[in-house]
Amino acid sequence: MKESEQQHIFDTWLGQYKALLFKVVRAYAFTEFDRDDLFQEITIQVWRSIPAFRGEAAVSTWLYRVSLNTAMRWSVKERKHTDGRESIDGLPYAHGKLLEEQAAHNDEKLAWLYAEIGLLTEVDRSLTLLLLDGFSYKEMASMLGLTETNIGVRLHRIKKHLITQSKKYEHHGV
Amino acid sequence: MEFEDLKKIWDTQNNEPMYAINETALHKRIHHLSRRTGWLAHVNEIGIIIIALFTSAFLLFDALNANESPYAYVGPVAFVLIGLFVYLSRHNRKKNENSFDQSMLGELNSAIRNATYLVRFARTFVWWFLLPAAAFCFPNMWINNDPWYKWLLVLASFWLSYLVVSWDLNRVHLPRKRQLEALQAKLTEVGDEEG
Repeated sequence: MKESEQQHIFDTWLGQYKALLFKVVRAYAFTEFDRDDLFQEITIQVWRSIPAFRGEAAVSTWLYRVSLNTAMRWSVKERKHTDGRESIDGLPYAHGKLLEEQAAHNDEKLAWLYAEIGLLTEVDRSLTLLLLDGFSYKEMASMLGLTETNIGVRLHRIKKHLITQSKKYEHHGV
Repeated sequence: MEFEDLKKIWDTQNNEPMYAINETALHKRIHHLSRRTGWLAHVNEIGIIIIALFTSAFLLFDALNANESPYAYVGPVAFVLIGLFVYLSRHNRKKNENSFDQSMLGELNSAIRNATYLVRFARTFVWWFLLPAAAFCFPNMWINNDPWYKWLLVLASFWLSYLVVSWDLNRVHLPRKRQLEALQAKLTEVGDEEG
């Protein structure tokens, strides 16, 4: 594949599906620096994945798979970088900051929901994002390589947990 | 709140993008990183190929200049064969790199297989590289009564190759393998809970 073709596909995907990537970034990274770092990792993996994309899955499914896989690996790796915030590639903001938060996104309930998702394990966070974005158990099973029963068991527990937490949140009158 | 209410909260973010992307910075970073990581990731294989060819050339030059017995040519050939072995192993590994089940678990399993290969490659390095090379070099140098600087050069190249491989094993491949296995355990632990 020519680089110009790869660039064109990348720009198109980024234009159409950036909201999907932002959701993954926000669910896995909790500081401004980390969000930038993770977004960079995800976009690089998306760029590299383009030649392997055969169109057998929907682009959104493909991008979710690539970005969640990257986010989970990044999350495990990042535990070693507890402070100092030196980027793993030694390029903190070397080419400028990547993401600028938009003022319109200060919704308190949404922030609470992201905070709750952030407390889940890496795998549970992935499943929650897919569930909230309307993926079926079958699609999730295919994306993660697990059985539908496994997905069902875990999602049942996640839903129950989130509903309990939401009741506490409402009870405190926030 | 019920789950449907949570979904409604979730869907509110679909109207406006959460962040603005600095596209110029993003493109610069992607081009910069996608070009350099290939080299860094597999420095051990490339390093060994270079060292094997360099040592082979050095021994061949020495054998030609000193007009030594045919036995002196065994070393250069052995080092070329070692270089070729590493090149072919690398070629096979890279060929299989992209042939995986395209689920997250499939991709993880493939990455673990790849990491296991690289760990095994580095751990057995002494057996398939250093020992055969030493078995040829040192007796040959002893018989030829070679000067001290030749001993020093050969010893230094052995030491350097061992350092490169050990560094790569401990700093890159072992931590990566452990991270991948930890993630695989997390992904598959649902089955245990289910039982």
